Amino acid sequence: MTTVDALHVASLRRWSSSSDSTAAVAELSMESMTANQLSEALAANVSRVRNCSMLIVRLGAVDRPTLLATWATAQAAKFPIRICLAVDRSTLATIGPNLPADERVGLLLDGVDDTTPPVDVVNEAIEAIRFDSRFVAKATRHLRSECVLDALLTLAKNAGLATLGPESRSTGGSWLSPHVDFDYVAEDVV
Amino acid sequence: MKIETATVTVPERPYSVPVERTERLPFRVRVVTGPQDLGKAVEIRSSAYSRHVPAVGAMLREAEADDYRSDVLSIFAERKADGRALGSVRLQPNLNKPLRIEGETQLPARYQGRRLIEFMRLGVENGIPGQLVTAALVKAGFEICHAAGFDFIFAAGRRSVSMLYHAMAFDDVLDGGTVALSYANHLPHGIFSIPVNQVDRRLPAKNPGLYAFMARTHHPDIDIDYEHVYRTFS
Repeated sequence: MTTVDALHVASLRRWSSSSDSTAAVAELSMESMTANQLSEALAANVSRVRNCSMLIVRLGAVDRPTLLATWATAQAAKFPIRICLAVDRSTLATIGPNLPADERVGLLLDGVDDTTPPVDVVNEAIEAIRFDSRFVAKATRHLRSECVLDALLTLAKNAGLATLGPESRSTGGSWLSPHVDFDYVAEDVV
Repeated sequence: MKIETATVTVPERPYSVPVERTERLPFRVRVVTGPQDLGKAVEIRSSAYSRHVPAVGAMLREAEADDYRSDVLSIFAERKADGRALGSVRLQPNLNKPLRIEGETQLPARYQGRRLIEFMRLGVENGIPGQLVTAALVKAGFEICHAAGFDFIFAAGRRSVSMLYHAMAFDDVLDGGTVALSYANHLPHGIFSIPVNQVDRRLPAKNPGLYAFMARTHHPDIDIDYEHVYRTFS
């Protein structure tokens, strides 16, 4: 696949900061991305993420060799902002303790919901988490789920993680309708 | 005591137990070195104070004169993912000027003629519950104080945060009394201190979790430039 092809299949989604109107992160979405395609997509999108502080690359469920290959590609790209590879719990379980520390690349735990163990949230390989939008929607209708969401969000903040979630809907701020405060909320595909 | 190597100055570890594990953090702790860092430190400080004492938070929206002193050093925690500041604290010694709290109250005689340092403007996103960030700032601050040869660490805190210092085995200098600090909107504050050489003895019993974090765990993400520390506190 050439760079032009990669541009066609890759789209950028923007996540805006809930506390700073000038801050944002970007997400690169591609279907079943190879290392070469990632490399080309990164090169093609440098100028589009200039005002963002992080680029999320969604990997989902991949095996350890694929994760390490993608990690190496992201490292080699020398991208101007930090790249967070978004992985799910099954991928996290394969990582083990020896994932290389890096100035340019980190991991985001994707799809956090009420089945996510707290120990995965505070896994030391993880530096950001993204909540599953269906879980967040459920939490607005179901008090016990809301308790779980609040506990996971508090845990993530105590650990110093960045948090992402769907549009935060404040419905009043009472204990029956607390404000869900993610660091970044989804915006548009650009 | 410090050990000079070819490329970096490594201070002696201030703990009596060896490191048992290495742990990564989702943020880095480092010395504030330029206007951009200072801006981040000021921002988190102001927002942290604004949650509980809005008047002080408003007062702290701009950097203070003490932030620019050559004998003062600030450290801050910065999230790796997006570079956002999560917490900061300013380390302000009595090397060239008395501590700020010495302008507010007379310290007992045991502190006279000693190298003192005050942890000022500790501000952490999410407040005290920002546990990992608070612990990392405390660890870095303590290790800096030990490396630079300070005798006592001081901190002032409102009643609501005094438990933080009790949990870290600080002594209550005023035995439960408070002083209205002019640099904190005249709110009553307790004054707390701990001898630097007692931290390794007191903490294991008082707060084993914090001690394990500080003494038994190596955190490469707490990355202090000790050349800067020695220059500042020489």
